Amino acid sequence: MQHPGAVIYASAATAVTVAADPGTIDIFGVTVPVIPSLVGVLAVILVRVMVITKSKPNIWSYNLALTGVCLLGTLVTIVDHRLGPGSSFWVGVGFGALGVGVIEIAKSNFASALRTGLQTMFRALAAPTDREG
Amino acid sequence: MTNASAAVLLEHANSPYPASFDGNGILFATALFSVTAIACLSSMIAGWMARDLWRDRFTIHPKSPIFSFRLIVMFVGVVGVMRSGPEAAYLFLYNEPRVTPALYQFVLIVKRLSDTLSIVPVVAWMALLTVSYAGIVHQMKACTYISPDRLGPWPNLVRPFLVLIIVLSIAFLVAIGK
Repeated sequence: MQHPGAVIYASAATAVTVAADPGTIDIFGVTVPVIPSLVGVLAVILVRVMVITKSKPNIWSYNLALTGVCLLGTLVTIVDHRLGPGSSFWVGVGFGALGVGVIEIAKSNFASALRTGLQTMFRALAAPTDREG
Repeated sequence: MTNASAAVLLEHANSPYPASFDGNGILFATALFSVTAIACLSSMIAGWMARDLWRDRFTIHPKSPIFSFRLIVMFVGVVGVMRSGPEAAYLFLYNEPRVTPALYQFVLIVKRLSDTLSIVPVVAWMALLTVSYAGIVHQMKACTYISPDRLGPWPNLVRPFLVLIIVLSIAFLVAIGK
């Protein structure tokens, strides 16, 4: 009779062999498809290159941070849904466009008005009143 | 469907690319690069012109040659997007593992509609050019000479060149990954 441990080991080895795909790499136990991930990353960069926000110099820090978030979202979606390369392109374009939209909203007059309004409100709340003390 | 077209479709039934590419990945990659690059660059041009038109809406009169020129170029960009964008979507989503038939049908409907409706911006820019050609040429002749930038035109071409390189990489990666 075969030892139970050997049976478990054999089945585990089979599972690993079945899961291994030449187009994927394992990062901390997560199977990442190489080509769809590369396509997604390039799609995000493509959208960010096409729509570069020309504004004050410190906008670059926001640009870089938001691009990083877009890349993360794209990669998570591609890995989670096991997308093909063509679908990954559109996911990357979507996340890139989302980043562009967030930056444009942040630059708009609405965001400035909102920021000023919130600052005024917080200053008024923080200011000492006659009832205190 | 005739027997001949059915035979062609059956011959390429196992190919990851549409039948018109004869199973050739290089042909698919170059076609994908072409339509995607045209769509990207056209959308950049159309957006640029639309932004300038909107920015100068109170200072440039609609009968001005500058307004006509920008509108013509914007319509040319719109034609590029309408003709190439849905075609690129069709090629990207062809034979994808997670694409539902409903989504693919939607892409095909958009492709059919944009093929038909693209006559509108084409006629618009041709009509605008015909109407305002004399005014545009007159304005160009009246313009004084502007000395060129010391660095030449190259700094302005960096972004389109980057777009071309990225799209080329994407097209070949998608063709390999299909």
